Amino acid sequence: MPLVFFNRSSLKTKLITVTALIVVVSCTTLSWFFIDREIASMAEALAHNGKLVANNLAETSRHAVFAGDQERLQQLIQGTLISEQVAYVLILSKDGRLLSANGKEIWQQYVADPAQADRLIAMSTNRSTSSAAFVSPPFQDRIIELNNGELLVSDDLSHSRTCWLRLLAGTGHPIVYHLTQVIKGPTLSLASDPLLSLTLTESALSLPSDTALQTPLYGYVLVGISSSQGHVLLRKMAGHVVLIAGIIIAFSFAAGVYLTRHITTPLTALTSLATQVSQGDLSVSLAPSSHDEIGQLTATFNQMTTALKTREDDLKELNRTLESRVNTRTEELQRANQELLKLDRLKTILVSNASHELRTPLTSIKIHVKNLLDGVTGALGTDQLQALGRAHENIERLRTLIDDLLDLSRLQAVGVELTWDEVQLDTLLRDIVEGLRYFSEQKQLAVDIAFSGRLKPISGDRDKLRRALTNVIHNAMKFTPRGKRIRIDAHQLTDESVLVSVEDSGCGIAQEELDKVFLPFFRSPHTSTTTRGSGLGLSIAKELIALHHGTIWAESTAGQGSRFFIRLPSTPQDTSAAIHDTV
Amino acid sequence: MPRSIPTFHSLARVALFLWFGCGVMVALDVDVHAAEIVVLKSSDVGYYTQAVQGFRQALPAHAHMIEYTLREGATDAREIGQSIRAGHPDLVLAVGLNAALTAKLEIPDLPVVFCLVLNPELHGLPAGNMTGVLMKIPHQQQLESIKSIAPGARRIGVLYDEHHQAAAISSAKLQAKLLGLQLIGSAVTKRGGVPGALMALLPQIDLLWVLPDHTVVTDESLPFLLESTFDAKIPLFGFSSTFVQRGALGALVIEPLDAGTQAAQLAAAILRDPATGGLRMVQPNHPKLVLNLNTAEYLGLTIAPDLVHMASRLYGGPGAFASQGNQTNIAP
Repeated sequence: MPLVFFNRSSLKTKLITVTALIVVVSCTTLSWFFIDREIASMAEALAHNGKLVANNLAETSRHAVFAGDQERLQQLIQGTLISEQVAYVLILSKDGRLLSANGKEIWQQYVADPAQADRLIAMSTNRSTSSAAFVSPPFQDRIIELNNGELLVSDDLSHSRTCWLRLLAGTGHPIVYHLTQVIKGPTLSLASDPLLSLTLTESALSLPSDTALQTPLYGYVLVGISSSQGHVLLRKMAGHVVLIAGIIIAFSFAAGVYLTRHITTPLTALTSLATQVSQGDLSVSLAPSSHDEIGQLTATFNQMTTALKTREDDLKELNRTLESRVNTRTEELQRANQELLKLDRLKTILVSNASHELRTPLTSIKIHVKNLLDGVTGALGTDQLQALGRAHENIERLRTLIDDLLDLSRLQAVGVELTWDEVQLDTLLRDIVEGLRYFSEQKQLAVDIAFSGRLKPISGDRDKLRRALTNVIHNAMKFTPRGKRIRIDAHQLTDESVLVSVEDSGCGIAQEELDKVFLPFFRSPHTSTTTRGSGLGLSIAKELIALHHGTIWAESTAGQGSRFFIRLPSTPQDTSAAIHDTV
Repeated sequence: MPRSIPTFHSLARVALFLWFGCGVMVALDVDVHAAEIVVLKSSDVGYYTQAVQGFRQALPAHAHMIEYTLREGATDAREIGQSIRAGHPDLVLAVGLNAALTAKLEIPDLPVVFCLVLNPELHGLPAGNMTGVLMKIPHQQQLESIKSIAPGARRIGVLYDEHHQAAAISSAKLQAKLLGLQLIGSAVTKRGGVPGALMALLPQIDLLWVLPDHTVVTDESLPFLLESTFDAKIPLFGFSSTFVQRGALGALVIEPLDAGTQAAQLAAAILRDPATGGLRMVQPNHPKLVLNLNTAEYLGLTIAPDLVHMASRLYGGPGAFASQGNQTNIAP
């Protein structure tokens, strides 16, 4: 649940929360470690100082303890009590009897009272060596808690850290380091001092040893080191640590809030601007508030909106001027088209007139040549007849070319009127094939005619359709090699139109030439030179089909022949039906 | 192989060799060479071993010696005594009090020489077949040394056990008087009385003379004696080099090696003439002087250079420690 809440909260909340958590945890952990180390250091220093005091007192008091010099012992104790940390001092004989004692403040009455002093001594008794007190030290270092003047419990020195923590937390009582030190003599080596060794040991009939004077015991020093001074210092230090940690946390929180706002405020503004931009307002911008990444992002955003606005203005200007430019271009194109139409019409008229003017003398020439060949003007020799035969043949080709040119020019000049009638295409196609039988038989071509049922008649000019279909079939026969096959199909389409296809077995037409075969005088470079023609047949056929609102096109596979399709509507108005789908 | 005729030089060499041989034989006696000696040590303490070493060095190298060491507590004393008796050696050397008492109890029929026993008279030593080397330096010799070291000290204080030393102190007082000194004795009856007696004695004396007394010198009182005299700037003259090392002015000490050597001389005498087995015990004949030059300087004393040269061991001064061999280097 908290994670869901965290995920749903804002970036500002997340940053502030995480930063605050990290700072609080870090400060708390560091403060705890610092205080813990300070406690350990202070406890160690107190114990160390107390040991030094006790050791020093043990060294200096040995003479007085041996002599039983109470006055000297009191002087030494008073000297030791000058140290603020020392609360009390007890000096015991080697059998544990109290020789001298003194203390400060509340401890003065303690050590002055024999019962309390005995209790104090008993608290430092080594509990683990009750049966062998003089084998191991009979006293050991302790921690003593004091509650309102009453001695509470004593504990091992190793537990002092816990006592300090309780004291710092306010749940413990003032503690005293109760430290002991043995008063002992020097250690002497007697390996080369037989007389002293014998003096010290021979009386007891015990075996002498090389170190007969091993640490002679004189007594014990018990020193109480008060923690009050350390406690005050520790509390003051802990207060400073808490204060510093609080200040660090407060400053860190404030810095986190400032930085978060520094980050999120521009982001919020940018988000608002982006919303406006998405709604089409490109005039918005935001002044960068800094030079960091946020400032760079703001500057980039401003550049982006500026660029978008510039593009939008350019588009508006382009849209505003586009219509007038299109109109201008259209007018220019219309003018050019009219010029071209005019030129084309002039060309057609020129061709028509030229063809017409050429046809008349050519007809006269043909008649005269025919008469010569027929011997009207007298008998001719073989060579003359042969020459006249060639001349007559070429005159015939020239007349055919002129006729075609004349027909084409008439068609393109829109000067041809159609005689509409009902045309039965299957009958017409058979008549055409029959009419070309001479030509097909010359090339030994097989012509297959296939109709899918009885074709319905269509409206058209019979002669013009005959001319168009003849040109297509004749073209197929021309480009089909000798002895090959031509196939003619006719289908009634669903829209009542008729689709006629003429398939040859020629060399085929390249794909890029399929549209060019209907242009006048077009000859494919791949066409055999033996195939002669005016190059106008397909152009005339296209024009004638177009007059019937039909269409003609070709499909071919190189090397496998070509197939020409002619679609003729049943009536001239039906021109928009799909072709390929209905075949 | 023809025998060569001896020349004058060869004859002279033979004569010289015979003359030296006869001299050694006279010095150490042929009987000593063949003697079998048993050494019985109280323990393996270092100075016992040094005494045995001195004993061995003073005898001919090929004297046959068997060494026994008593175990701690002397629980095997009877077995060792019986074993020694069964071997029937020519002489037994007992080193230390336990060994001497064992010899007294277990070996009554063999000559016994003992050493390193502080107070033999307290333990019924010596018995009839025994003799030994005393560990106590004659008081007169010590008083003479005191006078030499501290000529200005006239009042000599001494702490002593009233039960055991009273007679000796009375004798010493007379000897001191002959030397122009005043011996002020302070009798103590128990060890706890030492501090009080010393505190009372110190104001009256110029020098404290410490004797090997069980009651006065204990491991607890030793630092007290040293520190008290040091604090009162009173010179302390004792019997232990440890005293001197710890701040006493000087001491006449007995080296264990010397004690062993002296025991060897006594043994040789007994072996040469078994009838002398009941000889009196002998005094230590080579006590050594030990001095602390720093203490002398602290006390404002100037020790004569001859004494410094005579000292076997010096503490303080230019070197921390000087043995007899290099003492000339540190002589003032």
